[in-house]
Amino acid sequence: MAASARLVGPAAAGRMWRRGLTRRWQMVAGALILSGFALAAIAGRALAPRDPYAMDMTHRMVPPLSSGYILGTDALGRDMLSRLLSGAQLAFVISTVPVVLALVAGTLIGAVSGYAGGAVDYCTMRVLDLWLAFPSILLALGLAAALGPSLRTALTAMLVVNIPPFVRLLRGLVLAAREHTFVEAARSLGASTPRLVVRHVLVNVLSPVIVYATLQTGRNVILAASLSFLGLGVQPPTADWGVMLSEGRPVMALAPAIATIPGLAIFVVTLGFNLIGDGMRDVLDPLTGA
Amino acid sequence: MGHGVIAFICRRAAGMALVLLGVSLVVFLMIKLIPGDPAAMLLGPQASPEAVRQLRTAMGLDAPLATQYLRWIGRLLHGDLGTSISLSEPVTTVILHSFSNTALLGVVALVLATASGILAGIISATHPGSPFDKAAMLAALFLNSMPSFWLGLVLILVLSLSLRLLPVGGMYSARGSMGLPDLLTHMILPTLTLGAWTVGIIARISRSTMLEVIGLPYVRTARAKGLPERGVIYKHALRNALLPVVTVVSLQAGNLLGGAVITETVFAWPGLGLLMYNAIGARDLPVILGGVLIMSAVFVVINAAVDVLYALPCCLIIPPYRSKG
Repeated sequence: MAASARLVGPAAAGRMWRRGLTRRWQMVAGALILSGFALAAIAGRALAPRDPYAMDMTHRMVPPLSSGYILGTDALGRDMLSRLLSGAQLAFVISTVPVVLALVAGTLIGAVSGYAGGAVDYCTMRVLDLWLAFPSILLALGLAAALGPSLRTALTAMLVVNIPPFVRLLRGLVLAAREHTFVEAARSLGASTPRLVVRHVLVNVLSPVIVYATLQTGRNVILAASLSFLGLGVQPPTADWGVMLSEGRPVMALAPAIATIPGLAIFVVTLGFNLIGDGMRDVLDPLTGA
Repeated sequence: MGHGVIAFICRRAAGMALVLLGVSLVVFLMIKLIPGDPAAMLLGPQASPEAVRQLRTAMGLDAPLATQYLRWIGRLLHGDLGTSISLSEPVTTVILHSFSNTALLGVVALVLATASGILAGIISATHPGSPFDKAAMLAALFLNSMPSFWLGLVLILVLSLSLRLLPVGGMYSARGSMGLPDLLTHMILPTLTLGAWTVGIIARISRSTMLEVIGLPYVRTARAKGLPERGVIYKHALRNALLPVVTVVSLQAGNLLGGAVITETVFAWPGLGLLMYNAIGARDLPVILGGVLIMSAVFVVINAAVDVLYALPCCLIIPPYRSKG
């Protein structure tokens, strides 16, 4: 991934973004989905027609589009639409925060390792090899089980599995970029190492990093829901999409909508991130786009 | 086999041993992360501080962390992963008992997903822009966006509960013959669920690498020589295109092992994944961390084996134009 990434200047990157945004249906569809997701995350609680935690035992497992409930109610009579909108905020936080933090940590470690080279790079890569020896869901599962289930635990576990790919990506890109003539030119003009790394190297590797971060955010939506589904992430009665799906599973034969609606939300949001990520990758690096 | 290959295999085996040691260290540190004093938890809230202190000494919890790790790894090398809290049986016994079921499901899912993914990728690459290409790539994108637990539930809902075509879960029917047909019927839905993500990723990778290889000069030369198109694609292009696909397949083994926890939970498949899920519910940490250790170790071994596969001259993935070199 790293070696194939093309380096582009800010103006050329801008042109490619605009071209990609307007010409590719994937980007348009992805942008629409993610706009809806962002809106639900920001204003979901305000838009919710009912209290997402209010139980109504007289209206249990009401099917969608009936009795004034657009998406029906769950096994405890709670409004599904309100819980879905309320859960959007949590899904947004839990999928983006680990990516942002991993991006910062990955940039620091990857840039230092890639630029310094030698023993620093060797040691970093061996630690990374060990880190990546664990399948991500298993590493998250083990950590979450050891620390005890909670939102904080889920965020920690997800941060831990998010960092290594960013370090590896940034290191590869920095290694490739530092050999370029414009970096050599800046160095020969007397630019300091931090200035070289930040102003000349990092700026030029931003595009593939943004693409990867977008795709990773989509994967995080699923990973977070998986942890909740397994009982290791956010705990009931919190309105979380993974928790909602898990709660709907025992009553699936009676009220299939309770489990399928939150799953559909996870699918659509992940699809949105993948559409945008794939679209951006096609625009920036058409040769490697699958 | 040349000395170079043997030396590479030895180096790779040594590297694998080091990573396995590292994996064991990480799992040990996870055990140490568990909040609370294990001795106090074992004795209960009524225990006196003196009794807790004595048990801590007896359990070796007073020793420095490095000593504790060396003792733990010593027991591990003798196959001792501790005792399951919920099942009161050795963790090694319960894990070994269920691992074969996970391996069966994982291998079948990986083989089927790889075969269908490569096939879809080849057809897409040889007919770029065709309706099949567009439909296959859209399907691959959908499969890569779908949470497996949701896909599993939807499959149960449609094929088991509504159409009553396939069993809801388990490995054999309660009143069935326990024979191969019964097992295969029970395997269909878990295999589809477990392999879905892998099909998507392999189809996409196969398509992109195949497109790249088809454009190389040696493929043009093969065509110019008048070889039939099928021969050009399957004999010349595919062998080179398979190189990155094999790497992806070996990496997918990790996803399949991790995904088994969710798939087995949804379909009540009696494997290591379901064992770990039940252990999560019972807070049976020796089983959870034992499962993480064993699955990660298997993943490390698979990746090392694939690396060795690349180095073997007899191997399928050595490209023909290089071997004739």
